[in-house]
Amino acid sequence: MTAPVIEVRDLSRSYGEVVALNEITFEISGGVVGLLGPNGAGKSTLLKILTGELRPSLGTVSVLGMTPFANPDLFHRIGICPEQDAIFEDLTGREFVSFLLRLRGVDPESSGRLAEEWLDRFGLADAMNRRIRGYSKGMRQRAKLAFALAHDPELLFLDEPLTGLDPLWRHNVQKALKEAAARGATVIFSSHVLYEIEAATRQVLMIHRGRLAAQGDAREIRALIDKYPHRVHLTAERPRELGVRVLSWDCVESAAVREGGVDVTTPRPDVFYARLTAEASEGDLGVSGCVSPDDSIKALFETLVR
Amino acid sequence: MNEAPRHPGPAHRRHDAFEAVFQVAQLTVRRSFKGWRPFIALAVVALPAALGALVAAGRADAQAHEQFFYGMLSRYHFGIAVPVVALVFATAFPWPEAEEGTLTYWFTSPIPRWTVSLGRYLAALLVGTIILTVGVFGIGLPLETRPEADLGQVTRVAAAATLMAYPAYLALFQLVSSVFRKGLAFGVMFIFVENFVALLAGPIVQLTLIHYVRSQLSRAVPPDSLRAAARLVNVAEPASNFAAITAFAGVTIVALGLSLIVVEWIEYRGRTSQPG
Repeated sequence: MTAPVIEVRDLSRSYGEVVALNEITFEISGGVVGLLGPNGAGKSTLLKILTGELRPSLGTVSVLGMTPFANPDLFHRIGICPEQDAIFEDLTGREFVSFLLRLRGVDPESSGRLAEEWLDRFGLADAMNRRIRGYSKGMRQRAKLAFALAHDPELLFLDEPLTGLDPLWRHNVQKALKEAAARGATVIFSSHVLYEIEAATRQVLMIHRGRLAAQGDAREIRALIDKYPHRVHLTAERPRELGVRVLSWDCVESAAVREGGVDVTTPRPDVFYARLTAEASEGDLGVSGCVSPDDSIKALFETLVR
Repeated sequence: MNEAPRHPGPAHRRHDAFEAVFQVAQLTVRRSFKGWRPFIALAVVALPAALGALVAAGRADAQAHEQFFYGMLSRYHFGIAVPVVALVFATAFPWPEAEEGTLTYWFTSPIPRWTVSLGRYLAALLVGTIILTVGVFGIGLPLETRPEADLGQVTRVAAAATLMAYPAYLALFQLVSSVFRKGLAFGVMFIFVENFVALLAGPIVQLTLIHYVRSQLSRAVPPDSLRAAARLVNVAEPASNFAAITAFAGVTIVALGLSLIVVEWIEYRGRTSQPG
């Protein structure tokens, strides 16, 4: 029997009096795994412990057979895309990726080439020689993903990797994660949107209020969540036009123009996201961002916990 | 989206400590001239030269120039400029980067944390040394003093003293800023207290680095210097060169060593980051 890639036993983590994680136990053996939970559930804390930035308050954590905290032997084998936007603002995208690759032991020539290839893959070919300070949120996210994937790690940790991306790039990133898994990498990524996870994997770990609420198949969870209407906020230059257009879709229950975009309610999110991606890839939808508030997932978690 | 780049896989060679320190130092030097910190450092160091130019333009006599030179060198350059430049560069890491969110990239790289910290120290040492050395020579540049004042000799000794004092302050502040989130405030307090203690009489002044700097300078003052000016750098009981070198090297080695040890153990987390 092969050893699990990640093994977590009775893990708890507190910040002063705030308990962020409470006696979590699970194992991950490989593939793509989605870490699902509403904002503040403890996903980022868990990822920071798994990536060796934080220590557990109690319990044990083993990643690739090693204790993660400040462990360069482990860092050599993992790729990380942190949640926060901050990158080295004064560097260009190319410098950012190639410098971090050099810290990972990639020789100077290969680091430059890989940086160019991966930034190109994530649509930043024209922007790679511009300072990151001028990048949009989506461009920063893609630069971080290019870095995380470029050194072909065995294990990838991605904290909310789809945040700030438009529907087309969400689809592309999900595809890239599946490809990484097909090459043999284990991919752990967090989201508060089940449908983002479901598009990339069926393995889900659900965290709520610092506890592991469920572990299993995304489709079973979707069967539960579909009882709750799903809300999506689409950002667009011409929200009124977009609102009229999406309202004509069968899968959309309501659409309201609000805050430079459209609030959409859908009882069939999987169908909605598939159509959104398809129409966005045709290029005439005008959607520049897609955010799903986590109220529907929160409602599901409350049900599960009860 | 294009196809995934097909490559044989990067050469995953682990850096040795020397390479890791060099890589970190290289990037840090490149980034040293960004943000508010280098501007503060440059402004602090350039101030005496700017004031010197005003003194020169004011047609003050040579004796006033000499007095200005010693005052700036002793009280300002070593009392304020050297520690402030050290503080400005040392406190840029790691807490501010933890707050900003960029520390993740340093501390999840497959190199020991101490190599990151040492690389940052060496980069700050290089940049700060250049700024301060130029600054110390700049103090006397606009001034017109008597030939027998021989400010060149004093300036050379001051530059040498800067090269010894700056690494010690930098290491001290790096230790403080590795441990405490509010390293900058702590450092400002330290500078005030040290300058105050240096004004006192008695053996307590030996606890300050300023005392060892002034001990060096006092020996370099030419005998024909203006007495009132030379008094500004004189020390009642100057420390020997050996004692001064031991003090600077001791502070540097101990503080830097401790900072490299503690950085491996401390959990750096941004205060603004929510538990989530």
